[in-house]
Order: sequence, then structure tokens, then C-alpha cells
Amino acid sequence: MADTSKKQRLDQGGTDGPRISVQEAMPTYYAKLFPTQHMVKWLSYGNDSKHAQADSHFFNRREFCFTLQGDIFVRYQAFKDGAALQEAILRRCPDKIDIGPVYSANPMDRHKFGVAFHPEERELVFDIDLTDYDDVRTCGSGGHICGKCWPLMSVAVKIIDKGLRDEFGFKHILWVYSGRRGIHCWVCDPSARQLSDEQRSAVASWFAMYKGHEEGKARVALLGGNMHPAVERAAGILRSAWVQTLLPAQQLLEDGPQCEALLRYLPEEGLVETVRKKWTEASRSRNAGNMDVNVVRWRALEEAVNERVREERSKKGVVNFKVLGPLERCVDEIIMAHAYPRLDMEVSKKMNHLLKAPFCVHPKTGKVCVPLDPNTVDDFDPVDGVPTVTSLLGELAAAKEAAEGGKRSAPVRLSCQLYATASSPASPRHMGAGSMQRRPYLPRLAGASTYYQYSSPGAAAVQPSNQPGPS
Amino acid sequence: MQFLATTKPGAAEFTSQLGGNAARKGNERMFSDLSMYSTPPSENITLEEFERLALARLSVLKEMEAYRLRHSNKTEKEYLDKLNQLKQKHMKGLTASAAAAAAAAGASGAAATSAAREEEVRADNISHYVLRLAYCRTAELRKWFLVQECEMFRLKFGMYSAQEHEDFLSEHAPQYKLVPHAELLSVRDAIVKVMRSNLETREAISRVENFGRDDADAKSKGPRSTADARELEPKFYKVAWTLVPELVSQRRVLLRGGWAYVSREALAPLVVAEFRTGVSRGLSEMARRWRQMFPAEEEQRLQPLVASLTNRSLVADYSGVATRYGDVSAANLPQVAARHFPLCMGHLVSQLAAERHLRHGGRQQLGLFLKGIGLPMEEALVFWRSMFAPRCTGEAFDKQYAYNIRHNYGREGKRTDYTAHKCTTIVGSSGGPGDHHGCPYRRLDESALRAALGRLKCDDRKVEEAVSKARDGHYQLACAAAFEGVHRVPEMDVGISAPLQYYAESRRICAERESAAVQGAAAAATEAAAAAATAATAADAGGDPAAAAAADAGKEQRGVKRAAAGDSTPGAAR
Repeated sequence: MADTSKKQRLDQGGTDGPRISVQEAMPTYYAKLFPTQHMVKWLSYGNDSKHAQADSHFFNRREFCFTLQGDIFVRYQAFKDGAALQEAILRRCPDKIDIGPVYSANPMDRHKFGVAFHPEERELVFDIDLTDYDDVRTCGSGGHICGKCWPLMSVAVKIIDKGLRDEFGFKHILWVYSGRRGIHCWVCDPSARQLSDEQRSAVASWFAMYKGHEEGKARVALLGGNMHPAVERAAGILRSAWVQTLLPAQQLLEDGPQCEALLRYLPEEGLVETVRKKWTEASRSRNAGNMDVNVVRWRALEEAVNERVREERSKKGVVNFKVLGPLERCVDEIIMAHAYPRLDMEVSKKMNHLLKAPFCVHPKTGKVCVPLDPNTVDDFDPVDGVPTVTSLLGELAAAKEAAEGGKRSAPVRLSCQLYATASSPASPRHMGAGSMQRRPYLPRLAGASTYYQYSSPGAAAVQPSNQPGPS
Repeated sequence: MQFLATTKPGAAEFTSQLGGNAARKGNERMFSDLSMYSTPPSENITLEEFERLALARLSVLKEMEAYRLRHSNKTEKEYLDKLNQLKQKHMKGLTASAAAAAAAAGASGAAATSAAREEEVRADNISHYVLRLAYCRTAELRKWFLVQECEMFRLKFGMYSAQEHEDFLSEHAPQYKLVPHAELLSVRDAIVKVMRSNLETREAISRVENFGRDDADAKSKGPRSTADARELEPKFYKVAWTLVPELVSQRRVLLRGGWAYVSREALAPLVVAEFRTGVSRGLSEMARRWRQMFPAEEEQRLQPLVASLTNRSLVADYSGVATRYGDVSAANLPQVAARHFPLCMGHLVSQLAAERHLRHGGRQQLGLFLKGIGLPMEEALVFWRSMFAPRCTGEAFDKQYAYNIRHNYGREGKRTDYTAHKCTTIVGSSGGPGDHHGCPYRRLDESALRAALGRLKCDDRKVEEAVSKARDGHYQLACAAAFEGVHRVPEMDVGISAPLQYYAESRRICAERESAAVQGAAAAATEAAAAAATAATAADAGGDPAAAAAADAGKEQRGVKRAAAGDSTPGAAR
């Protein structure tokens, strides 16, 4: 079989062997690395247990959608258990696996039920794509992603994550790198899974500040000069990220169309002039240039706006709020317009929207959709820090070679390794010296009140998967 | 007629079969003009009254809907006034016993008013339930009825006084607990921020702001002011956020750990939501048990009557457009688009032609509209494939886009027959920088809008009118102004509420003008072998009613008529 020959090639080649294409690598990836059983355990929410309240048909009502090679969608797939799912994945070797809602009946039998067939339960999901930021990022567009635009994603993760926890009271939140140019979020709390479409829309709107484009400017809903506490919190996160990472990375204030576009947010022509004057002064007086030019210019802009605000305030008579309002707002407006998370609202609004499963492999880039830790999201490197299917298979081969020298058997170890990098936050109890062992997210089980944990035998011995295995 | 003379159990009995609720009858306090409609009426009424009440309520609902569509920027107060005026017009003195009651109580005014009020409540309840029965049959009807009823309820409840609110709330929503004093103090500042961000009145804000601060002051001022302070004390309710999605989506509440802090004033949506679920559940329950709804012996008489209620549509329905002007194909689409499409669709067509691509929102908005004007699915596939052509190969098109087009036509997936977007949907839709869908009067800046209208050969004066309307946020009025400018007609009596309406009106006007011109030309031809110039004059003289009405725009009219005559002459010759 082609499958075995590929495996042999891998085994012989090891890490230094010939590169193989993503498609070729997928059967092996699915057979040896893809964590089907863990996925099933997660999506069963305890209903796979012997618990009295467990609904043994729960998992069987969950829709999966396979995208086969050549963009063929196979929707409404459902599986009895992990073994059935595993078998189907191995047999069809899909490019992509999407997870849908839990329906009122097995999706395979949907025609029998007619209108009685409807989605009953689904994680609250979010999708943020860098493509939606194309008008405010300078490093690239479309499917592009790099370290320069990742800060946009990392502030988005921080803002949404904090909001979901503090404001909505959700606890079990899983963030996943979507494999190419964005991130996904799965809120797994029982209450989140029960939300109606209207309530989902409400959460999405709560987080949505970006209201589309008008007259060449991104429209953000900042009413008056006063911010809602939720917006204020987001603004706080953005303000610090703006100067520290976003501005220098995106170089928004270096001469060019981007800079012109940004200046359009200033409410007065005179103010634009003042800002430009300040900038030329700054460039003359800048010594040695140890400060980033964008930051310097930003400080100047802020200063100019503040001066103008003070001037307006000190005027005699009644304060003209028509003038003062836009002035006080404009700095935050710029930051919000450029960096506030832009959700793909449609994904969140409907219960029956599909979303790519974690640990899928992007067919073009070969990157694995690994979970993210919101606490360390800044350090995530979407370019080189993500395991690819070929790199993982290389490690698998290398580990096998090592195993012949009497160490532990390779497949188990590698699946642990995948978890070591992939699953989220750090668990001290699993920490081995120098390893970056992490504990997975723990969606609380429905029915049974235990927490779900990935089992990782011999985890203490695990090395980070991005480093070459021991030789 | 005999069946009118004897009171029939029909209307009364079917409702009481709803069960469950009937037991609660009597416990519920009747608010004079507001009801959750949880108790179906149970009395005998005549068929005539049954129908009369239902039609009256239907008129109120439909006229209210039309009023809202046309005047989307009125205050709640004005809407309520309109509603009361409509009720006065349609519902007054309708019930059979109303006149009798009024006559009997003629002597004492107070008794008369209370009798009249009781009568009102009764009419309200019966008419609601009859319409509920009529509108429970399809999802579409249920949705319309639900929206209208909720809107009416919301209006009335929103204008209630504080005390009425409290009463109604303790009656229907006892699960909402007041936030205790200490807790309210701890979140006070955050609540003030929320109120500020929502531009609430200074008075309301300061009431919350001063909450718990002036205790000392109050004591020193004596008992009277403490009483006043208690009266003015802000009251907040702690509610699971899932119950107030409306407030959450507009960020109008403070959220902490899944709890929303809702002020007494903002509770209306909660109650409306409850009302909506109640009516919605009742509707689907009725639909499910439709067969048991009518007593066997009444089925023959009542069912057709109830069914006919939904057909007496006063709402503009554009589904006829496709059949009336169903000559649209991929081949003539560009011409049709140039002559009859509203700007939102014309804009999409031209962007599509220029970029050879449209993003999803645009494809959806244009595609459903094309379906609405009667472009068959096969033609739609031809059209989109050819428009996407150089950039996207036929094969890629079939893979990526064809499914969605078939889906829109109800041939894939759950096979829903989707309808074209209305203006409210389009105006409300927003898109990113690469998107072209949505309402151009909202999304385009002024210069781009002027240019686009100029391309449509819109009258200059009307261009300015449209631009200024758009600037003030009256996008549908702007569209109507543009229509008037493009078609050179005097002010339309209806605003534009859907792209299909614009299209239908445009087709109608052009058809009228063409037929007038054809008649004129034909007349000229039969009268004598006249010269072309004479024919043109005849066409002018032949007159068409729509254009004749537009007496104030004489100059442009001439041009239009010439054009119309020119268009149609070859047709007449054939």
C-alpha cells in the first residue's frame, strides 16, 4: 500500500530525509499523531462515561464535515464513538475536518425527521481572520501572516478572553491557531453550548466595535467621549500594546499611504498640519534614533491633540462639545480602528456554523492547528513556532531510530510531544526540567463533575517537539 | 342569516382547547391596555364579530407597520400616538355589545368609561387570538405576526409609568431580584460609566451617581427629603445576561460574571422578550395542533374564514414582480440593470463587471435580488459564471460558487426558498473595505455617491436632495429621491422599502410610458402615412398618465417621452 511505503520512506529518511508533501504525510499523521480519542473525549463532555446522567447518543448526534481533496464537502457525518471516527478519518483522509453542532437526532438520519431535525447544542465559537485587517496592516494582505501582524491577533485573544471570563462568566475557553491567518475560539461551558442564536449574536455584538468602512475610515462605535467599562478595559489593553508592539511592528506612521489614512482620523485640518510640523521637528532633533520613529511620531501626535484639547477647554464661555468631543475621542478612535478585534460575526451568530477542528493540518502550509495559551499568546510565533505535519513526522522517524537504541517506543512519545506543545496552560506537576510541558484546557464535563484531562504517560520525559529529538 | 342570529361556540371553544393556560384565568390582573395574552378568551361570539374584530386588528397592525417603514425616525411617543389613533379608527365601538353598553351606561360617565374599557380589553384579547389562529400556519406568517405584536407591546409598555412597571413586573417577572443596597454601591461607578457611554440623560446619571452619597445630607435635612430620596432612588435588577440579549448586543448594561445589571427603565426588553416567547410558543403550539383547533362541526365554516384572513394582505408584496415582468435573462440583464436597478444593485453589478468578482455579502444581496426579479436559476448560473469568467475558470466557479447559487434558489441543502433582502436588511448590513454590498446611500461618501447617481442620469436637483437625505441618515428617502430623479416623476407617495419595490415601480412606469408611446405611434400610423416628426408629436400628444402627472418637470419630461417614443417605435413597427 502507498501508505506503508510512505511510512517506510519516512522511517528511513528520518529528519534529514527527503521532504514529502503535506498530502502525502496526512495518512501517517492521522494514523499516528492526530488525537482522535482526545477530541472525542472533549466533544462528549462526559457523556461517554458510565455516569447515570450520561447520554450515550450525545456524541453520535454531533455533525462532522470532511473536506476531501478537490474541495469536496461531505457534510452531516456522525460517528458512534472514537473508533468509528478514527476509522472514517483514516479511510477518507480529509484535507480538513469541521465540527458542527449537536443535533436533535443523528445527522445521518436527518431526512427522517424533517423539521424536527435542528441543532440543539454547540460551543460558542469565534473566528478572527487577519484578512479582515487588510486595510490597516502594512506587512501583507490576504493569506499573509507574520510576526508583524501577529500582535493584532494577540491583543484580540487577550481582549476577547478577558471579556468572556470577567463579563460573561465563562470558564472553559479554548483558543486555537487556525493554521494559516487567524485564530479560533471555542467556549465550552455548558451554558455557552446552550445559547440561542439571538444570544450568540448578542455576545458577538458586545465584542464588535468595528462597524464596517465608511468614507475611507473604519467606523468604530465610540459614542460620546465616555466608554463603556468593557470598551475601556479593551482600550487599556490596546493602548499599551499600541506603543509597545503594534506601532513598531506595523510601521503605521512611516511616510506612505497608511500614514495619510491614519491622519484622516484627526477631526481638524489645522491639527493635521500641527502634527506634520511636529514630525519634521522631531526628525531633525532625533538623536541616534534609538527610539522607533513610529513611536516618536505617535507621541507627537498625542501631544498635538492634547494641546488642542487644552486650548479648546480654556476658551471662554461655554465649552463647544461639537469641537471638543471629536478631539477627545480621536486618539482612541485611531487605536480602536486599527487594532480592536474584528470578529467574523457570522461564525459566532449561528449555532449550526461549522468550524475547523483543532489539530487539523492546513493543506497548503502543513501547519497544525495547535491550541494557544492566552497567557503567552504574545510569544506565539505563527511562522516558525507552529509544528508542521512534516516536521512532526520527521521527529517521529528520528524518535523511532532512537527507540532502537532501547528507549521508549516512538509513537506514544510523539503523541505526548504533540500535546506538550499543543495543549494549553502549564501544569507544574507535569513539568520536567527544561521542558515546556503544559496542561490542556479543561472543558468541564456535562453530567459528571470531574475535569477532563489529557493523559500523557511519561510526560515528564517529554522534550519540546520543536527541538530535534534526542540522538 | 340564521347563523348570525344564534351565537355560535366556534371562536370561543377552539381557544379554550389550548389548555393549561385556562386554569390561570382569573388570577391574572387585567391591565387596562396591556396583556401578555396568556389566557385565551372563552365566550360565545358571532361569526360576524369574530371576523370584524380580526380584520380591525389586522388593519391596525398593517398600517402601523407601513407607518414605521415610511417614518423610520419618529420618536416612541409619536409612534404611540399613531398607534392610539389607529386603534381609535379601527377598533372603537366594534364589539357587538359595545354600543349597547354605552347606551345602557349613558347616564353615568364613570360607569360608561369603565364599561368601555372592559369592552376594549375584551376586543383586544379576542382579536389577538383570532389573528393568532390565522397567522400560525406558516413560519413566514408567524414571524410577521410575532414581530408586529411585539412591536405594539413594546410601544405600550415602554410608555408606562414607574408604578405601572413595578406592578406589571411583580406580576409577570418575579424571578428578577432587586440588587441589594450594598452590592449596588459596589458597582455604582461602573454603572455610571455604562450610562455615560450610552448617552443617557444627565438627570438619570446623577441619580445613580449620588446614590448612597447623600445619606448624611438627607438626614440633616429632615424626614421629607429622605422620603423624596427614596422615591428617586435608582433601582437595579440582577438578571442572567441570556435574558437580555438585546441590551447586551448594544452594550447597554454592565456585565459581571454573566450577570447583567439592568435598571428599572431598561427592563422593557425583558418583558417584551417574555411576551415574545409566550406568543411564539402559543403560535407554534396552535400550528402543531391545527387539526384539533376547530370543533368538528365548525370546521367547514371557520377554517376558510380563518384562512382567508391571511390573504387579505395590505402589505406590499413583490412576489408578483417576477411573473409580471419575467422576461429577464442573462443576455438582457445588463440592459435591465441599467434601466431599472436601484443603486445598491446597480453598484454591485458595475463592481462585479469591473472586478470580475464579488465577495459573499455582495453575491448574496445581488443574487437574491436577481432571483426576486425572475431570473431563472439556469440563467443565474450563466450570468455569474460569465461575470466571473476571466478571473475564475468555469471549473473553479462550479466548485466554489455554483452551490451557493443553487442553494439560494432552494435547490440545495435545506431547500429553503429564500427571498430578496429588504432595505432594512441592506441598510443594516455592514462590510469590510473589499465589500460592495449594503446600502450605497449609507456606505458611499458624498462625491462617490454624486458620481454614481450622475452615471444613472439622475436629475441634478434630485441628486442633491438624495445626497442631503443620505447625509442625514434617511437612506430610504434618499433612494426614493434618486428614483424620482432617474425616472423624472413627481414625488412618490410611497418610500422605497425594498430594492424589488424600486425595480417593480421602475418597470411599471416604463411599461406605462412604452404602451402610451406605442398607442400614440399606432394612432399616428393609422391616421395617415405621416412623417416621423408627426409620429413623435403624436407620441407626445398621446400622453401617458404617469408623465402627464409630472407637470412640474416639463423640460425633462419632453426628453423622457421622446426617449420612450424612440424606444418603442421599432416595437410598434414590428
